[in-house]
Amino acid sequence: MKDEALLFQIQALVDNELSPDEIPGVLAKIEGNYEYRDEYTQLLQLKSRLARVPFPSPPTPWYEPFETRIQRKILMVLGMITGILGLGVMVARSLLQSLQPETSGGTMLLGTGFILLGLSFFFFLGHALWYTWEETKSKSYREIIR
Amino acid sequence: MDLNPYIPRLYKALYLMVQNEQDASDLLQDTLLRAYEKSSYYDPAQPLYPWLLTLGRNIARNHFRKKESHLGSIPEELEIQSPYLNPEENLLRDEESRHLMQAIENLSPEHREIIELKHFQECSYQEIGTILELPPGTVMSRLYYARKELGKILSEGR
Repeated sequence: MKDEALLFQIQALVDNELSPDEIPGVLAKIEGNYEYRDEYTQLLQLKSRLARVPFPSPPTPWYEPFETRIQRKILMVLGMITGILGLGVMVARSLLQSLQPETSGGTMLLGTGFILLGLSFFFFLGHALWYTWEETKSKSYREIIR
Repeated sequence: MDLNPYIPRLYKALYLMVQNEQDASDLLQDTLLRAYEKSSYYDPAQPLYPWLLTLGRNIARNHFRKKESHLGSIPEELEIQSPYLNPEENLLRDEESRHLMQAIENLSPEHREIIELKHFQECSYQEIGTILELPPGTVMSRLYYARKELGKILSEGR
């Protein structure tokens, strides 16, 4: 006569539903009794057979190909790099001006900072516009809006 | 509310109900949209998947009412060919899957439901308990006897 509570524990072991401290006890009982070993094997086999039943994959979201596109990543990275550099140059220029007001080259730094921040703005703008364009051309998106 | 981790499970559940890829995709989209609309009704103390599945089932029921479709035949997913297997292996796997799905069809509705929840939708015991409104002990017992019944049907080759 098999112990029903132990059978349920063996099943929970197969389903990864046992807590870590319960596992050694159940494994010891399985090892010590061929009937429970057989039960464990049968449950594992059934689980494995059912796991092989094929199902179609869910549809990929419309934005997924865009998210993984390399051009999009390049625009984001360039936007971030130029933005950080631009801010760095502006901060350096401010520090330089406050510490050594007489130093020449402040205007050049200011210009460089503006250019870098401008580039960053255009990279981010390009990314946002492209995203919007991808969004509006998506059939699923239009269907949801409708 | 991040629903992405639940999409594959929900899609399988919807696919098992409608047994058609296009309808399952449409229902999935409707369910996700409804989940975002009704997110204020979700109790974060409870597991998310049972709530999502309830939404999906209600939407699928409406779909059935509209289409006057029916449940119960063998899913056409069995025709899907794995790119990793050669044609002979695919054929064997299809045969095996068909045999398994037929065995599941022969289970009692209660047992079929719990097997689908556990094996195809990968629900935890807690999630199954919430979905079927059963205490944990009953979940374990019903699942165990469902597996036993399935094993028996498979070994008899019914």
